[in-house]
Amino acid sequence: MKILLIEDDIDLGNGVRIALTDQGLDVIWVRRKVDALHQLDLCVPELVLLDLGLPDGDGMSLMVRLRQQLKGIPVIILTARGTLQDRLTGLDAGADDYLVKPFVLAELLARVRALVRRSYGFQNEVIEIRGLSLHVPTRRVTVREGHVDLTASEYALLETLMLRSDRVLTRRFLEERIFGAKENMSNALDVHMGNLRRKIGDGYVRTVRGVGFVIDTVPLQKGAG
Amino acid sequence: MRNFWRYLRVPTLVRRMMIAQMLLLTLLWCVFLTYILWDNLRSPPMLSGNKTYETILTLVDRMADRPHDLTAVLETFSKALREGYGGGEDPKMSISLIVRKNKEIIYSSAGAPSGVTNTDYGMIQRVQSNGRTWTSRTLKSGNADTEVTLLTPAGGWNFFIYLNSRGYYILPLLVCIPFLLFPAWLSIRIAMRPWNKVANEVSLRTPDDLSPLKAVPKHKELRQIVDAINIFLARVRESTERERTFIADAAHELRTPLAAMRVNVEALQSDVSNVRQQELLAGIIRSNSRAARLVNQLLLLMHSEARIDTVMEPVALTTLIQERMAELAPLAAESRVELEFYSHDEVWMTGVRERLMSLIDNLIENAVKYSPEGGRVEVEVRSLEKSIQLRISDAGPGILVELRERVFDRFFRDPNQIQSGSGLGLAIVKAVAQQHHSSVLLSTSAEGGLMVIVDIPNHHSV
Repeated sequence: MKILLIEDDIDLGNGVRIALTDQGLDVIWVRRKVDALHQLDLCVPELVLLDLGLPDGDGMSLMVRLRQQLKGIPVIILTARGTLQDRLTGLDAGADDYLVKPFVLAELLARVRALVRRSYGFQNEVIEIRGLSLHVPTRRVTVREGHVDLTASEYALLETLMLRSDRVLTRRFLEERIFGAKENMSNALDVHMGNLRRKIGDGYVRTVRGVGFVIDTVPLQKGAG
Repeated sequence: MRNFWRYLRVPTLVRRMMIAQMLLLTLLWCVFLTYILWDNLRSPPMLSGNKTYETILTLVDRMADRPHDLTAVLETFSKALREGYGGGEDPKMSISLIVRKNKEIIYSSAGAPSGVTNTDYGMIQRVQSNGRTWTSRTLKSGNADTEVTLLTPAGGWNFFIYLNSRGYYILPLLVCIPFLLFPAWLSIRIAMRPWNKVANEVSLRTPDDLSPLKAVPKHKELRQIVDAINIFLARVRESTERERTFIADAAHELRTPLAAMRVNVEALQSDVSNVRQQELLAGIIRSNSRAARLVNQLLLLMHSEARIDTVMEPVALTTLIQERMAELAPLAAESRVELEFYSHDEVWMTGVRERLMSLIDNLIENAVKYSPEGGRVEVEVRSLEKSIQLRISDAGPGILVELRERVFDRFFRDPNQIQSGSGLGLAIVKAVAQQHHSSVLLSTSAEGGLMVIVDIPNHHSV
């Protein structure tokens, strides 16, 4: 799988190249905008990692070129500009993801994998967390091999949480997602959540009081509390 | 009483103007008086006028047949002259009269200097007699046989006698001063009013408010001062802005090498199997994370301290806190700290969303960092009558009362803490709070840890 890395800093570019190559990815590394354009003429990469501050021009203009010529290629922006406004500008220009330097390598790899998978139209068919598994195409849910019957709302709730495991989803987000509701529906959410928990058993959905819910891939070990 | 004296000792511009006016007035008056006295001394009015002479000449002429009566009349006349002159009976200090007929003295005032003769009739002359100087003038009668001489003492010391006799010239000044000073005081006070307005605005300034003064006076003198202050403020503003930009740029530039260092070490980590080497690499990663965080915090601080150039907009505070808490939940989970949020309805406030985010993030991150394992961080939003309160409490060690002011200083770190940190978190919180006209209070939580209370005034809510 070919990845085009456009980064002018030698140490960073080299580090990312080595790290990605170690993961079995094929990396073409260029340091200037003209070289990047040249490379794009030669071959079509499956993913572009783009630094915004290039010596011969702003990476953002390259972004616009990429979007015009090659629509389907996912682009991750790697940049030192980290304000909310910068992110929005980057994403508005058509970037699929935005990583602010300095980033954690694991995070970069995770995002690269997620985007490559998405660009192939490939989704994990089965999500499995600690014995709880969800088969997306058939909407079949099993707990330790035992089948669980869920209503549409409960299933939507579980799928949303499992697809975004380890991330706390706020009540508002869930309400809008499941019920499409803008008004206060906290009661309905609590009722559905209660039913879901009863059906799949304790220990999966963790409540962050006043904030929302999360399914942890690794159970949270409580200390004294 | 002491206060009164202290009040009097403090110099004021009004008093300075009053005293200057008083002194100038007195000085001018004295100059005027001196001129009059000096002029009088040089040519005394009694000597320069002809009426006195003519009266005496007529008397001498008409009473020539009664020499005794004439002497008595002249004696009385001389006394009247001396009284009018004001020098008393002492001939050295007063006017003297000498009448001659056919070059013979027929009358001389008591103690009048002898042997004085004027050579130039009708002119005021200086004459010497007995070692003294006199001013004298002699007039002759029509038939030239009678001569009348009037003498007044001359010389510097005489000035004071004159002053003594002409003291009434001082009186108008003494009478006038209160009448002049009160209107002067009042008019100065009225004239100073615009000045007080400017002074008030300057004194009400907070130290970090460098915007130009809003009171633009119409008066030329004041406008000069206000313009000068505004130019100065603009310069300070510019230089702080430059400094801020420089720090932000420097922090910014550090991000790429930090990223390079991190990526290289992380790539190396997968190749190293030796436990000791892994430990060393983990140390580098930790330091790298700290440096990265410091750079981030520096950028946040520089952004937080910059003047708000975007419009403040309504922000749903409850939702924002929930989102930030959801975002920070993994960090809390990593430290095995439980996050809890309490609020009733949505609370709105006006503010800058991104800056409020950094305020919330810093407070929650701090609370999580200092919480013991298994501890609980409680976040609460209360809508009070006059303000919105955001409370963040932890079960950590808290902050000693005597350090509570200083922890807001940049790079200040509680010496009792072993946790690593940038030392900028609370400085950011304070800067953001100030921009939102809010106060930050440190107190002790129910569990003995720290409770941070951010008090946001209600009139800024929508």
